[in-house]
Amino acid sequence: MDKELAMWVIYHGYHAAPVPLLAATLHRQCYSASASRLGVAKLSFLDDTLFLDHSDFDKWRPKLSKKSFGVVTPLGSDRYGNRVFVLGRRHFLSILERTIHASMTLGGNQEKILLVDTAGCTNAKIELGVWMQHLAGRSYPSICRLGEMLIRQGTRQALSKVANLVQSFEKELC
Amino acid sequence: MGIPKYMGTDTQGNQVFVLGRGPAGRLVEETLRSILFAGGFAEEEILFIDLQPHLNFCTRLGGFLSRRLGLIFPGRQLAAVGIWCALNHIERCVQEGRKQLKS
Repeated sequence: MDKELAMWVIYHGYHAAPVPLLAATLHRQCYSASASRLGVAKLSFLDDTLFLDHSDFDKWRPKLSKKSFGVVTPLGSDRYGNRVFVLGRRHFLSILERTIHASMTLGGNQEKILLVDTAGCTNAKIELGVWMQHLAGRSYPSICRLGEMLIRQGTRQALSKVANLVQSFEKELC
Repeated sequence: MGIPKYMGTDTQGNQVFVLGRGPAGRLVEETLRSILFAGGFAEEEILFIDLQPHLNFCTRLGGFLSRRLGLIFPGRQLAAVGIWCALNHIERCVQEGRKQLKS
């Protein structure tokens, strides 16, 4: 793998989880070595409702709490050697975009940056679920559980949209 | 805003930057820090010194007049007066930062 061709792919949204995290998890699955052998179109998880239970998604979600706003969290790399990150950016995309490019220059990193906005893939269930969880906190566990249920339903609904987004820039990656 | 501007190098050889965070606040700091860490920098190589607590009313008003209302001359004068008033606090802040670097 030519190191100069490797990129940093940053999936960002208002929150780091669940949609950017889902996109990053799907990216790693779609562009993994096993996916290379099977071909992306044949990947069963793209229409598998059990995907969320059998991937890194649940492992990473608690780590990407609301405290991680602004933190560019690495999630691994794909088969092309591109590093995959997630970012919860609130509504400060333009400022943080400048910061990301400036810090790459400052750190002497030559890699290209691909910023992927996942805001278009979110849906009302996810938004409502996240809002309920943040509002209720730990004080109202029943509301938290309801929020969690909504997030999971919404994430399953968003799966195909996010998969299409991830697959749409395959040419840019390789 | 959001871009660190290089100001020079201090007597210990450390590079000094200024960074305007704007409404994004600590998010800019977190992004900058995490990208540098991901690029191989160590935690002790970066020191952020927050000067926001030393902003006083004069400086804020001056900035508002200058940037938002376009009243550049009075705004800048007022901001300069505010900074002059806070100079002791800022100096103390810089000294503390230098101590942290030495330790």
